[in-house]
Amino acid sequence: MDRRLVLIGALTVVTALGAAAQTAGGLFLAGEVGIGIETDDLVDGSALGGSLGYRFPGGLLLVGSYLFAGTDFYYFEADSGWQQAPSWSEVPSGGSRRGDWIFYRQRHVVGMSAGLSGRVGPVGVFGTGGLMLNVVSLSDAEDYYPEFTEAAEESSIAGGRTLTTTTVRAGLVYPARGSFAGTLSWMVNFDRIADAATPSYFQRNSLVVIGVSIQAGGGGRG
Amino acid sequence: MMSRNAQRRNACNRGIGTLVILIVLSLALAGCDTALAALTDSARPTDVSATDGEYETQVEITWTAPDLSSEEDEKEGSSDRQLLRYELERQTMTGPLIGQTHLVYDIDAGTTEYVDQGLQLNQGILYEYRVRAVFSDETQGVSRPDTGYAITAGDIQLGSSLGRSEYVYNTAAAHATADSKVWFTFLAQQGWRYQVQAETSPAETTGVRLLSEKELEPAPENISEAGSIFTAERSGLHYVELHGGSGTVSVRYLGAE
Repeated sequence: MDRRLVLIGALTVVTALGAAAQTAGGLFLAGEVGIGIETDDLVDGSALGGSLGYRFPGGLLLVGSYLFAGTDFYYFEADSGWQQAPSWSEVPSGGSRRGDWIFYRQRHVVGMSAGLSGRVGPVGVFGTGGLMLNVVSLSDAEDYYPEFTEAAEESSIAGGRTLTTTTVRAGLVYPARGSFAGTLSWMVNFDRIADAATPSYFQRNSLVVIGVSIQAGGGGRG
Repeated sequence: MMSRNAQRRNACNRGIGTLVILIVLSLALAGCDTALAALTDSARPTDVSATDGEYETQVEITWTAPDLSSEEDEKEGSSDRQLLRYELERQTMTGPLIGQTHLVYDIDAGTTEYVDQGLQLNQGILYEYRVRAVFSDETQGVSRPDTGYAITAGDIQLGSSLGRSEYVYNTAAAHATADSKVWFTFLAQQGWRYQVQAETSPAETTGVRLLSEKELEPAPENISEAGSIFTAERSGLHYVELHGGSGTVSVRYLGAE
């Protein structure tokens, strides 16, 4: 086959895909990693998850997201009772492997937000605001160790298992018109407004989120 | 002195004799091999799994059907043979009827599960299950075994002091077994020390054992008497088995050694 025909065919496909990616509406998926500026009760040092969103004509965004926000380990000492370990390496596990440790809790963040998106040259910009449901789940040990359960709940979000917070997020998408794109955003999860005046409030509640998105519905991101 | 011809004849006879012996041995070995192949058919049920204490009065056994389309079967020209039925063999591994075998015939070839029911009086008895596939050419394929048991066990909530955990038991109660045993279960952390305390009456006829979940046999860290402290050798569910009489039982944790 003539190489020129192959080249023309390839260019036509790329152009068609590019044109498809520039349509107004569209479904998109994103895989994301969040890095905490400072560890807090809601999100650990890092979080892993994804988003599913839809971009309406005019740039209106609706996004649902999930982040697995970390695992906390607990241990018991006769002198000091139940303690939350800063990290697994500081658990006095006596040689037990991490997978054999039965005292832990896991944090999950499920959110729904809405916002606007647009384009500045090849770069897309977006901003959203919404609600986050922060959930703490305890390991099976909670059925057998009530004192562990008490300790894990006391030191968790608002002393319970769930906490609803408000969140805002702003970020960049590059390339804005691609079917695949990289995203970089800043997310602030406002957990307790009463603490907002404290110096480290924003560091404690902020996440830098890096992600890769795919345009699943033929629309453009902006 | 033997002539050269006679020597040749003797040598020839020895050679023929050796050959005959080799042929007979080969035929015998081939026969054994065929018989062995029939007994240990390559097509057999696999992935046999029996439940470990998930039900109070029954054990659920599941398996994967033998693969009759395997390369080995096709080579043997037996790909047209049919699976007629399954048979289930249950062998008692613990308790007074240890070693007793029970056979369930005629399980439909279209199913890959069986519920061994009616074990309310045999709770806490460990069974070993094998599934045998019976084929149309009169061969059979026997699975590897798996153990299972039925049990009624109450959860114990542990405390850092004995006062936080105390459960009343009575081996004469309705849920106790024919040989007067009751069980409690708790989740243990590997490397942690635990103390099982039982206040029993009458003291001389009662006892307490610690059992591991999977095999329902005395755990390596088995305790022989109430009040002794043991260290859990693995993380997972453990059973406290009490036999005879009534009283209270409690378990406390002391943390890592």
